[in-house]
Amino acid sequence: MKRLMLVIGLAVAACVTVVPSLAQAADLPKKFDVLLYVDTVNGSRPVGAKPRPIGCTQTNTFTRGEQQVFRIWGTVAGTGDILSTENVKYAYVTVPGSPNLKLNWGAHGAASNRVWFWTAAWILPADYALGDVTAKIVFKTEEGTFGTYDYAFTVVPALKTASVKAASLKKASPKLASRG
Amino acid sequence: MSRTFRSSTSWRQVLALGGATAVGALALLQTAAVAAPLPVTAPTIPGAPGLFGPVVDGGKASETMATLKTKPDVAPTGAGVTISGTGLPVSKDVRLVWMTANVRYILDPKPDSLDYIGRKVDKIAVALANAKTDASGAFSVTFKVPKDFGGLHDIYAVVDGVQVAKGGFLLERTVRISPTRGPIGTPITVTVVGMGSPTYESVGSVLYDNRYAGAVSANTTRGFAVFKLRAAGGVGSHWIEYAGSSHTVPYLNMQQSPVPWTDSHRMKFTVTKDAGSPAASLEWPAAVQPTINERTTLLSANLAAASTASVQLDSTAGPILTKVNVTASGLTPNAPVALQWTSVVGNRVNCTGTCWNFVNQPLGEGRAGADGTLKSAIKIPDGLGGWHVVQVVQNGQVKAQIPYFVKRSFVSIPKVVKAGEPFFVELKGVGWTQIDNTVAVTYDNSYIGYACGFNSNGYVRIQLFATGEPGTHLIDLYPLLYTQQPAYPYSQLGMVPLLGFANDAPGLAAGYELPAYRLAIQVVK
Repeated sequence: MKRLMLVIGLAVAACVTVVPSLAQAADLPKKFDVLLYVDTVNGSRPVGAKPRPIGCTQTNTFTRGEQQVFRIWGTVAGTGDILSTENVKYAYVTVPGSPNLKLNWGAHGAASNRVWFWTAAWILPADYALGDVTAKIVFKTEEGTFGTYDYAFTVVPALKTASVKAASLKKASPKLASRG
Repeated sequence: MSRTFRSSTSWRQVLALGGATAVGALALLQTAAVAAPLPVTAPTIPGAPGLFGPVVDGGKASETMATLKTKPDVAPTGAGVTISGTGLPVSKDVRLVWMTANVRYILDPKPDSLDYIGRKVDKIAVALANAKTDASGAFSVTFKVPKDFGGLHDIYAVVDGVQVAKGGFLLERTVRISPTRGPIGTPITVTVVGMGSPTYESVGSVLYDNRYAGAVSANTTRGFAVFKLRAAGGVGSHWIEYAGSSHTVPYLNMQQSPVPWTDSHRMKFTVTKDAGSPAASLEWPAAVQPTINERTTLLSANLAAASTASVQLDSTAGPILTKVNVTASGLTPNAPVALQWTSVVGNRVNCTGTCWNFVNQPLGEGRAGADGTLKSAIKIPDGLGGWHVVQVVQNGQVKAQIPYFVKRSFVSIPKVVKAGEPFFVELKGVGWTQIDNTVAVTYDNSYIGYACGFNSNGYVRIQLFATGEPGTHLIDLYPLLYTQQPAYPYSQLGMVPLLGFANDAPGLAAGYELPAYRLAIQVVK
């Protein structure tokens, strides 16, 4: 796991040092105290929306009723230490129109391949505003330094779409399976 | 006093003169002022909506953004909507701003061509409504969905220049056809409202019975597209699909894309009978005022310095062989005058380096009157279509010049063809720029290929084969944006039938009136 964390940490460093320098050069401080990697996945427990065929896949497009899970990996810039409950005082996500979402540090994945990172999940309200949304991720370390990241995602309406009848899918399934 | 010009010139003379002048003209090109690629102001398209409100400052995002409630938040243009907010600063004026865009085509006008580069999208905020928060910080206001681009629109409540709350709205795309039944060849008008401004929402792909017919855009018409197909196929039901697209062809699993609202609209048309071939016709685009002044072959560098001469034509556009009256003044009195036509010769095929040259063609010669004027008549050459220039030359110098647009024209198609046999469609006046050098051909609403008129000096002879059951079969020729030689990255709508040519096409801003040809044959055993 240490090796994995190191790889993630390097990826995180590369991500947050490169991406903001392109997108937000004018607003950047000269020095980062904390480096963050942020993404979101669709949670497997939506309320008011159909579960997607595959859960926990990375996406930045959500419908109302879906479960959005923020995932964050971070390091302390000066030391390279992984951000965890050992060195983070608090961490949260701010989404417009919603109470702050507390970020939790925990292990995820199969027992044989567990990965530790920060998560916060929420269900997009049924009447949540459509369109582009900017969530703000905030970390404060025990040493008093901050790390923030603006993460953009899009809320789209769930639309009626043409569907293939289940019967035809069942017929097709064995053929698909036998190809493997 | 005026003199009459001789206007007869053999083609051998034309070629000889053209070759002789090509070098000089090319040299002039190097010193001519050439405009850089630029987004061009769209011409005013009759019937297309304008921007529904004033462009305003969209405000600065606040650190603590609230959300607005919009009911409904998915609806088509014209629907009533209520938007409300709570927990905002109390007793404050609120400006609601609707985020949208202006879209322009990017063209590269040059003396020897007009290149189509792509689109430019400028995001803007438009004042939607005003409101005032009450003593509890709440407001509610109703509005009608504006005539605007479709897709997602962010709506911000702006108080004292700060976006204090955010809402959102999806302007639904609607598609309808009219009529829904009729004989083969019936013109079917397709009306689309709510095409989007972002790339992946700005192109519609049309399928007719699952055969690709072409692409549609509404970039300069704020998401409104109106175009025509013709009813094709045997008696019975046929399906017209208006599919989402990014560039030209359908994006078939748009439901899995981030813009699923652009997914297909499917409409049934019933062919009632085969009433025989409809008469051949040309469908012209909307009559608009061009917005850019650059014209191919128009060079200021070869004008005589200090010339005060001027020239007028009694028409500025027409097909080949059109007789045009020329009037000039300010010429050197009692001196010989030549009228000449400017054009190019070459092609874009396997083009590396210089692939076409400027050429001149004599239109006539004579002598100016004692008052420095002349009147004459010229015949527009049987050659390339598009923008050319009529030049008035004295003593080897161009004294005055004026552009003329050569329209495309129809020559022939057979009425009856045996199944499996070849036949030819002939056109004239096809041009050479990326806007007008090519026509796209559909057979019974199925795109089968394109034909170019550059190398054949505007004359296009397309060989097709008669296929299908005995009866009426339709051949439609559409304008096409030639996005090759040179090719530019990421340009949309290239190399396919431009079905929406009549109202939204890059060339309209530059005065390119390009028609669709509506033709038909009878296939017999």
